[in-house]
Amino acid sequence: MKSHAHVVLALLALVTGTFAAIAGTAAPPPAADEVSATELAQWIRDRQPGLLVVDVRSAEAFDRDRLPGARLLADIDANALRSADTVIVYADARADAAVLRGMSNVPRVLRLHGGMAAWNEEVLFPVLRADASARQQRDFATRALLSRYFGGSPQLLDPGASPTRGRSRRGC
Amino acid sequence: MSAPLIGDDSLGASLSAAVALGAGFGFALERAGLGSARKLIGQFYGRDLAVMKVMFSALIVAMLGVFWLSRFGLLDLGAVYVPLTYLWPQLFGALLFGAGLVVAGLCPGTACVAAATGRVDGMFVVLGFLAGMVGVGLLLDGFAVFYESGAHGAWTLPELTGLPYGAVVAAVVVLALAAFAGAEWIERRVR
Amino acid sequence: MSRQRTPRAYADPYLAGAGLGLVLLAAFVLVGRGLGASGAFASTAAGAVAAIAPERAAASPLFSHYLDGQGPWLEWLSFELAGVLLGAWISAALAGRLLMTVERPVALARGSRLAFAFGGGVAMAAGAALARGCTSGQALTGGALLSVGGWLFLCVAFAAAHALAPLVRRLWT
Repeated sequence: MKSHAHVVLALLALVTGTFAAIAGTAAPPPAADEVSATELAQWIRDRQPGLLVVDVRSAEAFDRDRLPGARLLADIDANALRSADTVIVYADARADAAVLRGMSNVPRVLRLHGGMAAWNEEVLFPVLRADASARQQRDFATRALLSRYFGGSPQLLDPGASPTRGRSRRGC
Repeated sequence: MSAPLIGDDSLGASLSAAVALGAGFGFALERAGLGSARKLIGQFYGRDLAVMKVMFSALIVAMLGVFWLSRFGLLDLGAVYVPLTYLWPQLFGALLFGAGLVVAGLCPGTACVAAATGRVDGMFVVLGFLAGMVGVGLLLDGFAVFYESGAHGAWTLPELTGLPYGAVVAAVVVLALAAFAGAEWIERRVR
Repeated sequence: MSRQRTPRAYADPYLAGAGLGLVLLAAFVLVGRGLGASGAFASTAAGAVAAIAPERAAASPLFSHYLDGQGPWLEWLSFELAGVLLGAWISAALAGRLLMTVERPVALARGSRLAFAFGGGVAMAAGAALARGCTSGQALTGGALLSVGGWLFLCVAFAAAHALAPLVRRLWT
């Protein structure tokens, strides 16, 4: 019956909408074995003991650019891995889960959610829109502080002048 | 994140998808009767609010789908094209568009639906729209500053309000459901 | 073949709308963009003008957008609109609603109806050009993606149409 279908659809919309409000952000949350770039930055800044940051990329990539205090996987011996309290593994974007299998005897291994890319985007070069409200500017101040601590620079975005979000040449 | 599935480099796949998606679009519009100017215009005389019902139903289904696919890591929202905001041209343009809509009885999309099903008035809306594009395109370089004014790029309601994305989604759902209830009440009154 | 005399009733608007929403969602998932209509017309206009007066076309902020990239004749929206024509025809054929006619109120002459259709189309084109989209591209697609401009367009266009409706009642009764 059509009215039954309407009620079902309306309820579906209401329920999924309510859960959306509860979820808050549309970004996928870090998995159980992941840590966000922002949280890792806070751990490093607060000098959390026993933290070992491991770069699983090539030596060339490591030489070009790396997280503060990070060490290349190839250069670490098994003892250092075992004696660390928390091992953070990162790659360019998503650290391959296969790498983690090689560390099954390490107590606590976490992957950096979004990898090097997320570190650059979230921590080093956070972006503030020029049309942000006063409250959004205030909330941005903490991220700006964190960025400068690690030698990054907060970015001010002029939304009218920047390239579009999503792929380049589009229209309606 | 797997979607969007077809990349910029796959032109053939992209254009094939365009035809298929368009066919779904046209089919749904015709099913709902929005290829009929007389049915469509009923919206603005409070007789038949199908336009609003179709628009908001489609909007919330797609909006909820986008939110949850993104949340589950199945859709990369950052790679989806968000229509740009140009406050002043869009404000003025919307006024012009609304005026034209209530005179023509069809918008460009529904005019194509009407034309495809034999409605000559739809064909004339299409011709007028095309002629208008030629004319405005030629005249627009005299208004270039206005045309680019109020540029805010890909600006979304969550960014404008500072509210979380999901909160705005929920608010829109509530707004839509309230609008549906209102529409049913209005239509019952007319009958 | 005799034409089916009793066309089938229209589908429920909520269900048809939900179906349309799924098509829109499929567009986001497949190609990372939503639906639209006015862009196809702008692109075709750009291509036509460029063929006749290329410098004028390049100077237009509207046309120049469609002249780079793949060019005006490979515009995604144009292919999408071709699909719209096809899908609409199929739906109407299945429902017995294919009919060559001028939809108009009885009291309005055919010529007048067609003139208003054309004139309304011109006005809508001006509006869509300025707004970078129409009800499909800005209101529907932009709305679903929570675009500020999309919601602005949705609200203002419908408010304007509602406000003007009493003044043009003669056209529809």
